[in-house]
Amino acid sequence: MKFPAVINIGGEQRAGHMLVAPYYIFFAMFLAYPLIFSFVLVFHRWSIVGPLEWVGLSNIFELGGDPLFWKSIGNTLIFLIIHVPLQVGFALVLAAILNSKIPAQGVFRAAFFLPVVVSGVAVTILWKQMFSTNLGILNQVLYEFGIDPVPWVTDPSWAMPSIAMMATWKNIGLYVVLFLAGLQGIPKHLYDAADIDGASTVQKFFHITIPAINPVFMVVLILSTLGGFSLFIEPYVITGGGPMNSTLSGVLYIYRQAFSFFRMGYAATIGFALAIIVMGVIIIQRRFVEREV
Amino acid sequence: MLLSINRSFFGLLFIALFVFGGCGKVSDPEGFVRLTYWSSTNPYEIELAKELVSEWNTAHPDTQVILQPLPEGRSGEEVLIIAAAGGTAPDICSNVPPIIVPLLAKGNVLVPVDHFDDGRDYLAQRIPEDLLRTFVAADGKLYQIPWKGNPIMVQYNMGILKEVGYDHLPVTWSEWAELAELVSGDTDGDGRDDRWMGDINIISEWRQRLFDFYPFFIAASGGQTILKNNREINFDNQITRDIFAFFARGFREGWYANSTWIGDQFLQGRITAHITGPWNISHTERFKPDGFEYAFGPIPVPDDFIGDHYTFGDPKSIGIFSTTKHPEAAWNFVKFLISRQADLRLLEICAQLPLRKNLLTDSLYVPYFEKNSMMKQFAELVPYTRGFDQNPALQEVFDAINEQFDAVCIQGRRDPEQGVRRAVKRSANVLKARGL
Repeated sequence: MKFPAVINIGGEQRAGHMLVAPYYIFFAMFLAYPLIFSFVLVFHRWSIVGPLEWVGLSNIFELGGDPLFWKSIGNTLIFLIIHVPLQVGFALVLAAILNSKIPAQGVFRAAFFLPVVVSGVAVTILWKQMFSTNLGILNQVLYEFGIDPVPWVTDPSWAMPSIAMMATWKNIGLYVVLFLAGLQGIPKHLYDAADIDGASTVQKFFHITIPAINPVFMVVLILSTLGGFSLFIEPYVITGGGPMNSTLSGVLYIYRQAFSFFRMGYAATIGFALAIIVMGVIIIQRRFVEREV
Repeated sequence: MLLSINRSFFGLLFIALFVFGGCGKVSDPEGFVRLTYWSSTNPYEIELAKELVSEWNTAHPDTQVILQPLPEGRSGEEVLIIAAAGGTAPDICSNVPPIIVPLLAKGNVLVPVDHFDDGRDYLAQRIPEDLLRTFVAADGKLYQIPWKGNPIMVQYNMGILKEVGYDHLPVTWSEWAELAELVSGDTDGDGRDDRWMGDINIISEWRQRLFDFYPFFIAASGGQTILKNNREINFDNQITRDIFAFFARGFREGWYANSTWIGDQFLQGRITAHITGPWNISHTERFKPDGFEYAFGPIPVPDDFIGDHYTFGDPKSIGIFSTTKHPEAAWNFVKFLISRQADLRLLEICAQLPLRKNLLTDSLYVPYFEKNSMMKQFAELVPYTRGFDQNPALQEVFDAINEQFDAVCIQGRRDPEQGVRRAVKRSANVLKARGL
């Protein structure tokens, strides 16, 4: 029996496999094994310290009827609806401004990127203080203008939008950089030709800039959506998921089940459900955006 | 060429593994025992642990203890459970939250005290019988060594009480309400509230309810906890509804602010009453402004309450992990940690109370309490403290209560009866689903 050439490893091929072996090991240990183990957990009850206990499909049935799980998904979608357009829109506008000839351009670019590299927990603690209804700086400023205090993170209808606003501020620098790279890659002669044809600035933006940065736009949209689905630090530090579970995100709910209640099987089930939902949203997004933009 | 690189690479790797692998090995002489001990990360407790470990190691050259503060993590519970699962748990830990003991016991992670011939007797001599019974697991075994407690009381800013002409500390809910009406509101006339009765933590996390709902429940029920016999729901009653209504009234009438806080508002004079434990005495002494006066009072009870004043004891236990190779040596070290002399150092260094009989009459501790009258107040409460029910799903039951406390009391969007009903329903489902 003859083995195919690819299996018959020897000489340089063997050396090649050895060189990529660290990645194979990394993949097996940190990706494949956890993924397979998590899938096994879906069908078990496990408190980390005890043995695995087979429960069949009961975690999946429980998930279907768990109002908090659906609430967490709803909250995450609310967050995405506010956060993604805000993030993409502002990042694009800021990138366009930074791409034009403005004074201290480098300083502004660095300033917008700074929150991205600062620790998420540190930034969130800072914002928690700013959001304080009675003593926060935001309400102090509003007071100076005669506006009543806003219950930024203490009212169920305000809490998620406030967190979305904060998350947008934190992450926008990264997307500004991506858009900036896209904008700088647009050939200048396209704008020159449009100028000769008498196109306005708005026309040039919509007919040259936007189509030219379509691939970057798609990347930003997907990264922003994925980032939104992994919302955790902000509600974890600021609200703990409240008020009235209004900021309980999918990932925070997984964390709570896994590390507050030590229900690893159920947490794994939520994780897989969330992954399927994320995949669905990204597929819809790609189809829609790639067709329309 | 590539093959020769491979040979060199794997040759170096082998040498590195051989050399560095050898570095980790310490061969102990025959009969020598080495124990690992994790203390809390609290600086005072680290200081105490260092002192006690040093004393032990000097006196026991054949049983050496290696001290390490609990590794960093969101909570002690999380760290200990992960360490137990990963096989990296120490032999002994003195910061075991009793709330996770049932879970650890279920996973056979802890050595029960019953394993040692003198285990139960030793503890029975140390701890009030009534209190010790609350730490016993559903299977009748004792998987933890109850060590210390921090009875929860109310700390008052006496300057504010004097200012509003209130001459005693509230004992009942009516008195609490009366004081709250006097102190809460706008004091500088700018149209905004700037002073409140209390600082109830509005973060929606079950742990926060250990410092508002739970002490009030224990006090109002005369020392009951939220589960009966560690498994039946014990809060489907008028007491819980009244507590919910009382806190809801407080948020509605502005006694508590629905706000997150910056800094210590109690010391800044914005909060009149702070629900806390004895650890706050040293904090207050260290950071209080000049002329700041304070006093501690009991958790208020309903007006018609008759009986002893109980409170939440915020206990911490010591655990011996079943991965230890030297359970007897570990038990001997634990007995040293909870000895009379060590308990005195616990008081002096950490200002925390050992769960010990005759704490106030034992001649060893009398001088300490003569010098620290506030600590004496807390010590008097030790026999009247309650900790946690022995049930692995207790966190989820607390979470169900927390969820409704948020909706009923903080947000005022549900009436107390409905809130309690929902908390009971979710808790019952949790206990049923876990087969508990």
